[in-house]
Amino acid sequence: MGEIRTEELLMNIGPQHPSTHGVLRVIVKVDGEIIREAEPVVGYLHRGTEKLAEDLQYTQIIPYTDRLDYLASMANNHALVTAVEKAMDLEIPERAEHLRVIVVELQRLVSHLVFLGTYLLDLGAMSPFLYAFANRERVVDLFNRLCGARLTYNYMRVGGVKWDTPDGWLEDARAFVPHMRSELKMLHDLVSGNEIFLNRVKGIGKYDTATALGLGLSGINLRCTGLEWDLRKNKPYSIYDRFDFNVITGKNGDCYDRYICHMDEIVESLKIVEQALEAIPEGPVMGKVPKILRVPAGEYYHAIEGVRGELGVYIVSEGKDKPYRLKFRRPSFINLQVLPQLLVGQSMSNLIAILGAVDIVLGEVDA
Amino acid sequence: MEVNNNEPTINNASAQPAYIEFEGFTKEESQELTKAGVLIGTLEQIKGWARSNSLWPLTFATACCGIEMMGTGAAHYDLDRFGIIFRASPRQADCVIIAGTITKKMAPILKRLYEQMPEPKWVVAMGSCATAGGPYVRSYSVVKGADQVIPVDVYIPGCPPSPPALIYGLNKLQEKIRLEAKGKKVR
Amino acid sequence: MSEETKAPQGTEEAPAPIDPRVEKATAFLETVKGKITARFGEGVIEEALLAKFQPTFVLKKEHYLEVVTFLKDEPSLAFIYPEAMAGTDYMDKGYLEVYAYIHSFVMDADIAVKVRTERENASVPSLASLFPGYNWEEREIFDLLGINFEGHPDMRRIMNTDEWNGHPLRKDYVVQD
Repeated sequence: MGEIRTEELLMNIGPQHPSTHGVLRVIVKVDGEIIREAEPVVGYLHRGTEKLAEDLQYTQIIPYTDRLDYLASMANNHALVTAVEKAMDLEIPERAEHLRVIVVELQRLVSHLVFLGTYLLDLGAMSPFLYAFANRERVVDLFNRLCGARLTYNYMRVGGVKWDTPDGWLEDARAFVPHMRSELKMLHDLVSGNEIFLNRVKGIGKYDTATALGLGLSGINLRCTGLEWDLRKNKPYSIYDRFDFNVITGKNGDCYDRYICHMDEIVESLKIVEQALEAIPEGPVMGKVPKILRVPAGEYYHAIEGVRGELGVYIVSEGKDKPYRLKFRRPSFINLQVLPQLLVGQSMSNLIAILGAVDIVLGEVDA
Repeated sequence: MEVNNNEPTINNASAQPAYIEFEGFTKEESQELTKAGVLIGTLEQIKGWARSNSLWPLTFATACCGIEMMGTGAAHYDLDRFGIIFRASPRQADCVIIAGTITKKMAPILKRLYEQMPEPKWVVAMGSCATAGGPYVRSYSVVKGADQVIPVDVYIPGCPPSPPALIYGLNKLQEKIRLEAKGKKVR
Repeated sequence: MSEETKAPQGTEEAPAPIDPRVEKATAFLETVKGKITARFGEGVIEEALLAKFQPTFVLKKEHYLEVVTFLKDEPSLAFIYPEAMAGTDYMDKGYLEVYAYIHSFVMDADIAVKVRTERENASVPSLASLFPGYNWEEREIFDLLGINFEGHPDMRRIMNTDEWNGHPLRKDYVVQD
């Protein structure tokens, strides 16, 4: 029996796959089970939002922003409206600011729950998916009562928010916070000590801060390496400077740290929601804005701490009511660039674990 | 969805055929089988009932509608009670639920997946992007509706359609399968 | 661009109060401009302006790469964190522009760097060797606007298919169906 002839195989992890991230294609060169080279191919969901935005008024662009990072629609809305408001120097009523913070932090929580559910589903565990989505239903139900939609809310407007809370909404939101805390404890009991899970994610997909900074990573992907960089604290916008919360960082920069960062950020979001619910004043929810929004000529860049990283909006305006150029700095797009170097030398099953931990949403990768 | 009633009237030459068209058989064979009577017709109906109650869709979630599809399959609105289990491979799937925008880059892949599915197969277009291009209809890179690429059976409007809407659409698909098994052509 | 408030009628002409944000930004702009000109001379900067409190430098294409390398490597400036890059088509003015936004932890500030190129055979030096994070951004700008980045390791379309004709984000792009 002679030597078995082996050769490298070019394999395609196609745009349609059971991993729930969306239409991402990864072309890998494998030698047995070990990956030698990997290349992500994106663009299967490129819908041309930026080109469409050149023909729409700012308020009309807000529904399109919902569909960029569809798991965190409120945060996307927030990015666009804060960018326009900063460009136009608009005053926003206090109640609107508080409502914005409440919904954005609840949205962050929901997105992290979806991350938990889908990441563990990728790794093979069915139950956390069901528990995570059951809790998501409660929050989405709150959002449904507030703005009429379950996924793409179109809630914020330049100058405030569109609708005030219906009766009983604030009480239900207050009741949700302790419920979520106990659910979180249950989820930790279910997942965090599980030996199979720990074996699959500890020590996998490590990188250090210098690599992360050079690649422009942001959000949890940057903080898991140990650098404390959160735009809510470092470049405060809206009313985040009034709330007391910690910035969660990891230690090693591996997949386990990213998982723990996600879970701990849920705790921090709950803290912020609690404080905002206590401090919310009465008042109008929409400020005085002109009927037709005209951003003064010039260019502006403003970024917020979106759920997956730094979500920035770059507006070039000629003084008209439609932008001349609107560009979204999308965190998932930039974060995905780390994938090729993380995958070299890993096995195929680790590919799924690493890809899941980068936490991308294809709507945001492709715009 | 109108149902064309085919009463087997032999003297009406321009009407629907006076025999039930069985799949996989030629016209003469179908006529022979109809003459054989009740048993074969019931067999088709049993097949239709069995297929409709265990639809196994292919996971084809492109965009936001995919999250609602996942949410429908999850705890609160369960899809498993309808017999719907999501399969990853097209070779093992009965139907494909196109959830999300189809871009020009993705369209050949959708076509290939559809061709890889074995007969009988059905297609559900979920959401306005898959139905007609949705909010991105004027974009340069979006296919204006999945039916430009593959034939669609049920369209579910919404952006995204809420889980009850998706369940209603799937129920309609189940009805369509059962009605078509009885020999009635359903549009 | 200082905000001038109108002095009420009848009072003495008070000097217009300058917005403190403008002051801070102007000071920062002058510091960085001073360092660049000290190193490279006057000719590299085409314009240095404040775009609503954001210091922005428009650099000449020939010196673009070396100035940005200097901004990154100089220890007192240390613009090491690439945050965003965008491309814009100014069809009426006849050029395409690339806008890069970089952050410095040392100075705790951001800087915007722009470079212009003509619309025909548009080409700009690539920053991907300095900042790996700009790799895909430059590919996207190439795909959508048609700017070729010299020195980019992998200049291919990223969003559209490889056989796509034209560059969709240009103002004179006609949607083909």
